[in-house]
Formats: sequence, structure tokens, C-alpha cells
Amino acid sequence: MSGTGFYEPVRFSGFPEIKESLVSGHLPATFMLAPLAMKLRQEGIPVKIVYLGHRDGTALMVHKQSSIYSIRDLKGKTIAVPNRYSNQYLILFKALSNLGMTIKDLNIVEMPPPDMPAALYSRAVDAITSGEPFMGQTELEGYGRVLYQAKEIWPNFISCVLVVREDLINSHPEGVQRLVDGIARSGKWLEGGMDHRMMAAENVARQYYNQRPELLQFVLSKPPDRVTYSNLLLVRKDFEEIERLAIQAGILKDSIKFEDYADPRFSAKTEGAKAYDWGGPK
Amino acid sequence: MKSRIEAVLLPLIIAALVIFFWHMAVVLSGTQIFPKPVQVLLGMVELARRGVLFKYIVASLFRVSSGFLLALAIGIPLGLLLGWFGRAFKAFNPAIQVLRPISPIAWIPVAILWFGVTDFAPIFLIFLASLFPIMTATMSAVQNIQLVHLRAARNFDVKRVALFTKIIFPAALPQIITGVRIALGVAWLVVVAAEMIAVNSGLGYLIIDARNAGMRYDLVVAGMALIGLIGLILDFLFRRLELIDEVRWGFNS
Amino acid sequence: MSKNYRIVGLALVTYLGIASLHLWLNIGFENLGLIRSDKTEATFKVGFLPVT
Repeated sequence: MSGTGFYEPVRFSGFPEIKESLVSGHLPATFMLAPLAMKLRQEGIPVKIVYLGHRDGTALMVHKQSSIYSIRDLKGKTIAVPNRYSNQYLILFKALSNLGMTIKDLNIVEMPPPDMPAALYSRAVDAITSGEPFMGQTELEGYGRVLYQAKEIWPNFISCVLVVREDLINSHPEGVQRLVDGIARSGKWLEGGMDHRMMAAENVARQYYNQRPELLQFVLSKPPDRVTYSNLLLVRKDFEEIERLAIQAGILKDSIKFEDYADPRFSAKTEGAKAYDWGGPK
Repeated sequence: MKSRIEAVLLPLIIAALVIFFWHMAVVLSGTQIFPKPVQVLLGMVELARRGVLFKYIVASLFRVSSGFLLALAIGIPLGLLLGWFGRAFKAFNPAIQVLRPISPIAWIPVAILWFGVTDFAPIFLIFLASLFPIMTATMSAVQNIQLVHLRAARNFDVKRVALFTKIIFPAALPQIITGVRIALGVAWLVVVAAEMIAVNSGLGYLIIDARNAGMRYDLVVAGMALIGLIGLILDFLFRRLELIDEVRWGFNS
Repeated sequence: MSKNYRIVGLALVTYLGIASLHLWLNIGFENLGLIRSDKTEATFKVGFLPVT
């Protein structure tokens, strides 16, 4: 997924800054939490979801020495989520309502994912949930324990999606298509074998993520389907489920139409996409 | 000669003691997060080897000096005018005092909305942080000008513009310089908050990014140490400025 | 009075020096259109948080 010259990746530290840059028009495209993208659309920001970033790859971690062994044990505890407009928050809501509990039984705080490992280590919070590699990091560094993987509660879990402003879609549809194709093909390449994943971790880690390669390698391999990069098509059903939960959880006011917040044309064209033929950096 | 040696030696001794106690504190507490002094030093070496040390320092210096110089260019003239014209002061000062306590961090969303992901966003934040100390010091300096000078000026029938450049400004200068020195300190302090926005360079960015990158707290503290050292150098250079003749004029009355 | 001008001049020159260094090291002159570059495609920014 490295830049081939027609787009420039910009790394952020938190979702609020991404949101502001997208809303102000200075950032024409970005990866972003799916419910947040839908919320922005509802507020009238002219954006469209065009593709997924990945599936699964989210967990809820507790401190190894804590006495939390089931979701019921979370009652009265403090849990950090990336943002209230996130599927990490909604999946908690879903899990709790399955057990007859409510979100009010928990103390939810919003925290940028990069801050979460240190917060768990110092036990400033009782549990953290967000995407990888921050969950795996707590495991690798020996103080975190998985309470659940997102896929156990919400199969084919979606976390981040690719959001593009309408003016970019109108002015550079080919560019958007190339970007989506690139993600699709990289995804297929990543799924083409563990050696591909290890290679990717090695190269992406330092340059784009500023992380240790060992951490990304851990997250991409143990277990092998911790994060999946195939099956990134926009499916209406997935999003209507997100919408349903969001309204129940009270973070979305009324219902919104899939046609309004999503543009599946780009995703549809990736059907026959072939994996990249990448053998490593030149 | 002796006092010159003392001026260098005494701080060095204190610094050595601080580093010693820092090292012992880390070792004795068994912390896994806070780095030892030698790790911080190695961190700086790593940054230099990666080629980012100089780049980041230049980036932060650029943003701080841009915001700061802009604040000087706007704050001093405005401060002079508002300090001199009583009615203007009465009209605008409340608004200024309302804006002044708002932390630059609170302005970050506005900065992103107006300037996006460019250098202008942190420059704007640093400009805001520096503007208010400069303006407040300038206004107060003008208001404090001793009547002696003003009466003398009136006796010699000095015209408006000359009044400002030859009498008011030089008389206010010492207090203005103090405010400017404080503003420079604030500007350099704000660079961390300012660079939290998605600029991809700078010492503030280094700290935020090192914090995000797993357990690189050695780089975090290295960034802090660099910010501190450069702040010290800036303050030192500024104090030499204060020793120049023209500036002392106000004290001799 | 001339000392004031000298200070201001020195400050400006220092600032321009820092600004040029910054443009050269961090932004790249080609990104400002000051020198011709091989980039013919329109580049747009894509944001991301390094998290899945």
C-alpha cells in the first residue's frame, strides 16, 4: 500500500484531528472509524465511504493481573475506547445487551489508541479496546490479556473505512479508483501467504507506522486471522447493522440511507483485482 | 574572571547532580517506562544518525520564529496604540483579557479548520500564544511612562509620529523587552502542543510520535531535553540583547 | 538608532536563513513549484491513524 506517487499518506495521532482536517476540506481522503464517517455524513459533510480498511483486528484487553475474566466482570470498571463513534464502542454495547447489561454499568472513557497500552500498563484504566497493533502490543510486552476478539461477538467486524470527500470523487474519480484498487490488490497480496505479511510488517513498520517490525509481525500472524485484508467490499447489510446499533446506542439520531453515505461504485470495480506481484523493496 | 568561571561551573555542578539523582531514581524505582540519562543521550545519537535531529530542530525553530516574529510585528504597534489612546484601551482591553487565558491547545480545532495540515496551523498557535504577553507588556509599558518624559516632549513641541518613535517607544522599551522575553519562552513552550497537529516534523512532533510508537520514551525525554536546551540558548541570546545601550535608556530616568 | 536597525536586520537575516533551511530540509523546493520536478500526477493526501 505504499504511495506510487499519486497520493501522499499523512499520519495522524488521533481521530479528532482527522475529523477536523476532513471536515475543513484540507484532507480529501482518509481512513476513519466507520460510525464516525456515517455521523459526519448525517451532519451534512459531503463525504462518502468507498472501501474498507480491513476486517477484524480489534480486541478488548485487560491487565494480566486483573480479576476480569468475562464481560460480566467489566461491571463498574473503566474501559477506554477510541471514540464514542466507533465500532469498538458499539460492540461493547452489543455484547452487554446480549447479557442483559447496559452501557451505564461501565465507565467509558475516550482515548487515542496510541495512549492505550501505557494506560493499561499503569492500570489507569481497567480495560482497553481498539484496533491493532496496540492490543497485541500489550500481549507482546507481557502485561495484557485478551478478554475477547471482536470477531467472537461481531463476525466480519469492520473498524476503519476509507472515506473520500465528494469533491475529490468528482474531480479525480480515476485517482480514487486507483487508491481503492491499490488497497484491494495489497489486501489480496497480504492474504497470499504469511511470508508476504512478514515482508509487509518489516517494511511498513518503521516508515509508515513508526513501530517495531516485531510488533506488526506478531499482530499479523498470531493468530493468522487476527486481522484480515480480503473481503473489503462494501456490503449494505454490514453498514445497516452498524446503523442499527448506533441508533440503539444513541450515537446516531435518525436512520440514514446507505446511498447517502456510501459510494460502492469503486468497490464494485475491484471484483477481479489481482494481488500485487511484489517481491520486496527494490 | 572569577565570576565568569563561577557562572559556568556552578550550573554545571548542579546539572551533574541532577543527572546523578535522575539515574538513581530510575534504577531504584525499577520503572519500565522512564529512561535513564544515558538512554536519553543514546536516543539523541540515534536521531542524529537517522538524519532527523537537525531537520526537526530547524522545523521547530522555523515555526516558532515565524509565529513569534509575526506576534512582534503586530503586537508591539497594537500595544503602543492601545496603551497610548485611552479610549481605544477601554474599548479593546476587555476583549483581549477574555482571549488571553484561552490555552493554545483549545485553539487546535480552529487552527486545523482554518489552516489544515500545513505549517501555518502551528505557526498560528504560536502566534496566538506569543501575542498576548507582548501586547499586555507593551500596553502597560506605555501607560507607565513617566510624566517627566512626556512633559519634556510637550515643551519641545514634538509631533505625533516622532513622539512615538523618539519618546514613547524607547521609554517603553525595557518593559516591552521583558514581555517579549516572556513571550519567547511561551512560544517555545507551545511548540509541543502546536506540533500535535498533523505536521510531520519538529521536536514537538518527535515527542508525540515517539509516545505513539510503543515504548520509545527515551526519544520522548530526548525531545524534552532538546527543547529545554534550545530554550536555554534562546533565552541566553535574548539576554545579551537586553544589554545593548539603547535599551537601557528607560532605566536611567 | 542605527543599532536598532542592525538588530532588526540581523533578526530578519537569521529568520530567512532558518526559513530557507526549513524549506530545503522538510518541505522540498519542488513541492512549492519553485523548481521543476518529474511529478506529473496530481497528488492528494490520504490520512490514516496507524491502527487497524
